[in-house]
Amino acid sequence: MEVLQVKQEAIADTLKGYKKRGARLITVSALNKGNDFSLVYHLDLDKDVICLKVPLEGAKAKRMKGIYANCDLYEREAREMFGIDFGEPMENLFLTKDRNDHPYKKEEEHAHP
Amino acid sequence: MHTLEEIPIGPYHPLLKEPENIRLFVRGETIVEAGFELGYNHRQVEKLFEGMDWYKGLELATKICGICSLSHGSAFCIGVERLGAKEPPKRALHIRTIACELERMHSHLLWAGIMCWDLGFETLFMHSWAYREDIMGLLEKLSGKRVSYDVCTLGGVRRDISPSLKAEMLEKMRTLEKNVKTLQEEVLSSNVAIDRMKGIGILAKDKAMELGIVGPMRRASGIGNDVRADDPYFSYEDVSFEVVTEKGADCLARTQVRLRELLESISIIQQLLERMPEGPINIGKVFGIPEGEVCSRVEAPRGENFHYNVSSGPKPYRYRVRPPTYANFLAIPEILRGYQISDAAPIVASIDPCFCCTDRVAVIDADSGARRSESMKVLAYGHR
Repeated sequence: MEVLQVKQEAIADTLKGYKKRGARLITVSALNKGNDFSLVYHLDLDKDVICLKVPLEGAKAKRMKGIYANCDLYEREAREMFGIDFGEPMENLFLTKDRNDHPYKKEEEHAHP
Repeated sequence: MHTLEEIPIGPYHPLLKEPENIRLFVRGETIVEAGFELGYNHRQVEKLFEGMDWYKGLELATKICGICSLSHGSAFCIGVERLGAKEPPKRALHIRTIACELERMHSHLLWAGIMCWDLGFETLFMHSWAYREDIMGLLEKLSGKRVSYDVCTLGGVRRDISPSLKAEMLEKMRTLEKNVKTLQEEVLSSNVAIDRMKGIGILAKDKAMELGIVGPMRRASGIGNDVRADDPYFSYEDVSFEVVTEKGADCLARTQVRLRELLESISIIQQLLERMPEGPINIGKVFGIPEGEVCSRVEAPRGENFHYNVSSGPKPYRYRVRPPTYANFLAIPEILRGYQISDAAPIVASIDPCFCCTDRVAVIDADSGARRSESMKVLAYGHR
């Protein structure tokens, strides 16, 4: 397993590069400490797992489903559970439609490793 | 015909394991589009992990799913053991691998029964579930439970395979091999069954790759990915087995993949039992898991089960689970579009998810977009 830090403005090109090399997107994970949010793109390249960690500015991110179609579900989940803003309206995937809180989002007091 | 009708399947159905809602948009008998809704069984498991120490976390992981509980427990153990640089004894890894293959077999036989039921083969459904009982019995003897069997503990396994259990397992494997071959023959020699599956629910190879489909669905589209071979864990490096693929990419190919995988699982279990190493089955209580992050994955019966664990030391800070069915749900519109309503049951069953039926149909006027509901009476008798 390899963890690489990627800047937000470079993630689209990085993902395109990995896709060209035949990488498969396994999933996207969101995490936060207070107002510091990040997304982690987990890829399978040549039978090895690569994690691209992207710190987000102001809990805002761009959709990557144009590069990897399966990002769609995982981005919807990240918005729903963590309140990450992908710049377009999305329906809840797991919670009821009228629920607007973000249950996985953590408060400041939790320590981040 | 101007009306596009919506047929909701779900969220509860007695045939399958979990509640989901699949929506078919039909014009006449043809499925024009399909969608799905998730979350009917959502328990915020990922959040629950954050309040638990590693041992409680393992118990929770094995409770994520009743069918493939061990695949979650295994992925959890692999991650925590990697973080803490703890290596379970060789004998424990063999026992874990045997239990994982027993789990794959009982899951595939459960699925085969449901598939046969959906095709109208009730006798085969009963045969398949009867064969499955042998495996459930072995799991009970190995772990103490038929479902949610906690075979794994951190640093090894909880119970050993005794010489008498080993002999019983070998005997049952011989019986199961014969039974599975009979099942294969019965399903695949029936023209009625083949006609209901062949050319139905096609998921082309490039589409399966584009959507990131995993497991038997991926392999039935001709892509030979299997975590057991690609990124071996436990004792999979010590055994020889074939990554089963088919090229048909339809319901029949998915059925063939799963039925052939049953025989591979029997072979894996036989190889491991014959080469069972001596020694301890665990390393005792595991302490001192450090901060850090780790990914772990295993090949669950339905495909790649991926866990991402961010550790704060005494417990997870963030725990992410991406089970295989979640990844495979994206295929639902793809494999239903263009087929008949009557094909929906085998197509959805061929994914091996959980789907449910409901008691009404919503009718949408394609011109105005207006929606109305119909009762069971209308569905049954065709008039209001």
